[in-house]
Amino acid sequence: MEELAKNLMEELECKTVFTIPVLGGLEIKESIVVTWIIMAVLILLSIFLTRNMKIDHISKRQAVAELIVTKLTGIVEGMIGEKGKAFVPYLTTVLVYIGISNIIGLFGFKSPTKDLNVTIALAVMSIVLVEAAGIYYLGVKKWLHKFTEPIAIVTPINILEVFTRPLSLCMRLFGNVLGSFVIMELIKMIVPVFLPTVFSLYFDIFDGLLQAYVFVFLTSLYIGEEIE
Amino acid sequence: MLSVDPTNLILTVVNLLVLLVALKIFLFKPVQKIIADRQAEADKQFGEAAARQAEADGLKAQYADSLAGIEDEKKKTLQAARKDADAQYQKIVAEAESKARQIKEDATAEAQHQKAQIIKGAEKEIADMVVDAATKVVGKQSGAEIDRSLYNEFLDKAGE
Repeated sequence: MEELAKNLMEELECKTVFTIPVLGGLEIKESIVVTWIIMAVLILLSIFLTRNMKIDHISKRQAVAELIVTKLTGIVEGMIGEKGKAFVPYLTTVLVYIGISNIIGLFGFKSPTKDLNVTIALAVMSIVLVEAAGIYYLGVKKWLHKFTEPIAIVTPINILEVFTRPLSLCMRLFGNVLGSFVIMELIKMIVPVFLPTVFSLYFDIFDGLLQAYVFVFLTSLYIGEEIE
Repeated sequence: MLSVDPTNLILTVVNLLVLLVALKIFLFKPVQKIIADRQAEADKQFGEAAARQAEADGLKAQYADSLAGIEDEKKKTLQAARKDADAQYQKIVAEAESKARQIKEDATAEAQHQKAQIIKGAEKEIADMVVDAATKVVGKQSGAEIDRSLYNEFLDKAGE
């Protein structure tokens, strides 16, 4: 048991991969490196898939690219609606990034979403986007007025929401990834054969993609509420 | 695990923004552009097809019109021809009739003429015969005898 706890802690610890010797040494963590790998793969794949596209007689590659883009943007558009079209690229990017981050553990990488810094950054970006959207679409005055709706007495709660929303986004994602990782490690310890595969389908793939969906869904819900 | 590190926080934000821009440039924009292009192409083709359809419909109506005109013309021509033919026929028949009548009249006149001539000839012959018979009788008898034999002679001659 002692051994397991130590192993788990080591697995969970996001190690510093290297240090950039500027500003007193910037420590680059594993999660950032894995994110770079994900980015590189996504960008190269995009370039490969969208190379010399045509209007008709399309190649299989182009068909795949079109399918991916239309399906993903379709999912996001379905969540945020016609009004929030401007946010679709960002939300789709986040969906893809979180989705891949959550299941990249299967390929032997450490999931970036297992690092609290990544989920905090995602949640902060989400809430900044939500409030910025509110200010952009409503104007400062209406945006401020929105805090007193539906009645003035809920104003403190509305202000509190600005902080609780990103916190819940961040912690939900982080907690799910962390929790499923710990459970998977325990299952692997108790029954090393067959059972981990079955549970991995749920915890790693299903839950991973579901959390990506939930994160984007809630963000688009907040944006939709704000620009209404 | 739970340590919050500003460097990595900021780097994650930067990473996401870079990824967003890169995906926008390399994935979303090209694919959406190609889809929009295809839509435009399809719209164009649909428009062209509609225009062509309208044109074809117009031509069809025109053809139907001219076809009806032709049918009309045909009917009129046929009617005129029939009328013409009828008139011609009537004329020919009338002509033939008149000609036939003429021929008949001519023939009748001819026959009358011939008849008259024959009668005339016969009369002349009879007169000759009478004269002949009379000469013969007169030469042999006289009085009532003469009359009777003259008469018998005549009858004999005439009966031949």
